[in-house]
Amino acid sequence: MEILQKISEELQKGNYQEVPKLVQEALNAKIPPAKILSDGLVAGMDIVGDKFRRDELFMPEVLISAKAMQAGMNILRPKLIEAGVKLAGKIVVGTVKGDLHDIGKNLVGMLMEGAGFQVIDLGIDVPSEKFVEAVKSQKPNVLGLSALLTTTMPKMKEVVESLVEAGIRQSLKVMVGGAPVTEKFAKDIGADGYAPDAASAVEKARELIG
Amino acid sequence: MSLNIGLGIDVGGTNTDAVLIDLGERKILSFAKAPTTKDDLAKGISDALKRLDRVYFPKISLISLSTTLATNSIVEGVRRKVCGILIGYGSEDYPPELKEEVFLIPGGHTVQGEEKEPLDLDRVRTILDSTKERVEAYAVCGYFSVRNPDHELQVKRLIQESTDRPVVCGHEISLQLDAVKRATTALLNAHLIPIIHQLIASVKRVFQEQHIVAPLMIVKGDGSLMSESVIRDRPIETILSGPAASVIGAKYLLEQSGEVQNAVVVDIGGTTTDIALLKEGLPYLNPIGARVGNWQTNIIAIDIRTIALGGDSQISLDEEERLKVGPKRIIPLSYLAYCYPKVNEELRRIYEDRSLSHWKNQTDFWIRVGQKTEEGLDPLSERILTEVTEKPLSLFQLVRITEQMPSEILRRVSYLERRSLVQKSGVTPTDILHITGIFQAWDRDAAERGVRLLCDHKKMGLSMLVQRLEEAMDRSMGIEILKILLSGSIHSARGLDECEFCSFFLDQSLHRGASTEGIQFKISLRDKIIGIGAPAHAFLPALAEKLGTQAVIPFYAGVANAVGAVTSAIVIKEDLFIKPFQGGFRLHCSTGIGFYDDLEEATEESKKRLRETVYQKAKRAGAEEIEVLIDEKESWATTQGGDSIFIEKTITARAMGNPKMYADSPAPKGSPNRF
Repeated sequence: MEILQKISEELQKGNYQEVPKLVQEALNAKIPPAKILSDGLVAGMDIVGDKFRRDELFMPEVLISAKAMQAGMNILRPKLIEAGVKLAGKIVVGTVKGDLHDIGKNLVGMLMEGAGFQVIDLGIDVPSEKFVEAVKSQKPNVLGLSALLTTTMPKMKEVVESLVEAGIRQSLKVMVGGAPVTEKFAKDIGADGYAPDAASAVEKARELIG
Repeated sequence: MSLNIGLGIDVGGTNTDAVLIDLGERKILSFAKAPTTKDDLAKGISDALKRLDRVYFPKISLISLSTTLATNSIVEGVRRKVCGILIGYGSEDYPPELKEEVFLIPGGHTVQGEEKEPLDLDRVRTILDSTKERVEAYAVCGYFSVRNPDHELQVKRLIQESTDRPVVCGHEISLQLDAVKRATTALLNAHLIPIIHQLIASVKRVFQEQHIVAPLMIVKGDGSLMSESVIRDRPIETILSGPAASVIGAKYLLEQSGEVQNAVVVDIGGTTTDIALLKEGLPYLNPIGARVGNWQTNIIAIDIRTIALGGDSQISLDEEERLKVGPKRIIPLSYLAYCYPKVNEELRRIYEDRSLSHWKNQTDFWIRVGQKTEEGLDPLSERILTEVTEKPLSLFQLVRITEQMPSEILRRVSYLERRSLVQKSGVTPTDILHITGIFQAWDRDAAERGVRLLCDHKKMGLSMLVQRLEEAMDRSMGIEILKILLSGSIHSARGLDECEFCSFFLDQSLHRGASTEGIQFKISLRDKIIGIGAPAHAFLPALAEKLGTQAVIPFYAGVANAVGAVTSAIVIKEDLFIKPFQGGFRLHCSTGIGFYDDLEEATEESKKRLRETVYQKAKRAGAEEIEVLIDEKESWATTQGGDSIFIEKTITARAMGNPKMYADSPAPKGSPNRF
């Protein structure tokens, strides 16, 4: 379908004014919302993610595409809910206590949303107790933790331990990421998954809850 | 004969076993069994003791007991009057079933061991005023108390100042994270305290009557021993002590014929078969914590798989006329006829009366249990109950006597069975063993008549029927053995039941010599199977062969549990954590927290503290010649940039010792001098 292809292309260009208009057009043409999401927005965002991973795109370009995605989603979301489309999953993200970095975490959030996840962003400098509260009230499938400093990495273990103490560790998967974080670190602190970049984070989340 | 004689006792669900061992010579001197008396366990113990060789009693220097009391009380939902004080807990942080006995008070700590909010001791005082007159035991749990026990200890002190009721803290039972498990375990423990106190008091009376004076040890669920005086506060640690003692006993009994360090231990009882592992000389423990009934506890106990299959399991036909073994326990026909020879006449009559051969319940008999009755039984039920008093009757006899339809009678007897007013008898694996000649204690003719009736009904030859039954039992046991062996490698053992290939593979490999599609499927276990329990020698050799290994049945396999109880040792294991904290190092220990600038200094201090802690605990548990081993594990992570960051250090101490023998109190008058 030509219009869906066009949504994908404009999204890759980061045309955040055009994308919502095209989404509306597609809705008017009676294309099912789920199809607009998967073959238009998500298809476009998948390509953006791929290119980003291969270093063909830079972070600002991805952020603009993500913004276009969000603009499209704002139109589409009520229709999706109306149609009862099942989302890919629910994810809570946040940067751990003592760490004020948010670009990486935001990017993960946007790409997750682009992949059809419902994303709840707790922001930056989030204490362990906040993560526990959010998991209790939101009941997500995945918790994504971000840390960009070597000094805040140990906080990730504290979040995992806080989930264990609250007796809710088994109810979800925990993913960790951020520049200094490694696969081995993730394993050592009892997380379920690690992703080196935002695009792979989406893959990992799909795999973990698959 | 050496001076040290140990008395081992296992109070099981069906039998109470007792054994006397010369601990120096490692020789069994005497053993006995008596039925377990559920209402008063001390009676069963006393009966078993009376069957032992009394000559050795004055020389007994150690008594050790394993018991299913804690497990059974929890499963049966026995409740006492207890009070749980939960510090800093939310309303979702404990099982809702225990709501009525729980008080939530402000306090608790953070993951770093910092105070989350100030402890409200005034609230505790108010709670104590309203509870101390009616409560039998207190449980105190704090949020993150395993990172800082301070609040739990403060509340405990306050309770001890104002009442003499037992009070036990969450961190004293386990240092595992998980506030929900902690509260569950501590509360269940509180319920068990008055129950274990009663047991200890009554068994001590029994020993006194028999003039046995020696320290009393109780087996824990990990197989180690603990002095009765310590277990009084932490009875929950005795859950699964019976199976754990069995594994230790099995190893001990085999030591004369060569050391066994790794094995699958299969304990076949009357009702169930328990499967556990011996790994590096110790029972393999479940790292998550034992599950009892519907409760998930944090008690590290033996990992055990139980299947509803035993010598007395009912062999029946399901709706589609397929042979089924278990799960119900009944009286073997061979045993019923042994006690009531007239059963044979009736079986012969049924066998000869061809008109009955299409009946499914031909081999079933019922007999009344004890003298109990129940208000409000209908006239037919009353009649049946009277008729089967002291003489078992078949369905046909009941039909003849009552002149009622078989379906009406079946409905009544199943109700009476459920109310434990009558017990059913029929064909069981024990009867099959009488026919194959492996086991011959009771009436072989009755067994054969019963099984032949089943054969005729199924239009199947005797040898074919026996083979089918063996296959069904081998498959049930074989799959559980594989599941427990694979539990470390396969995340969900469900796969073995659901996967089509797995199922095919199991069917093929558990049928001797079967081969399909040109593939020979074969399982080959590295370790041997140790069989314990009375029917073990009958079932296990063939199963072991199918699993590509051998079965070893120790000579005293029937009392392995009691042997294990008295030959085990005291083992106290405890962890201590050092974590990064504000540029330095924080130490989290069951005795409290500490802070150090330097990791080395923190480590030295930790080792010192932990060594002292486990040493004292082992001593209190009744050990002597205590040896303490310390292990340390440091965890560092390397960042993408190549920096090293400290994650945590775990120090583990293990104190081991043999139980101190001989009682401190003087021997009773009239008994010989034991020195």
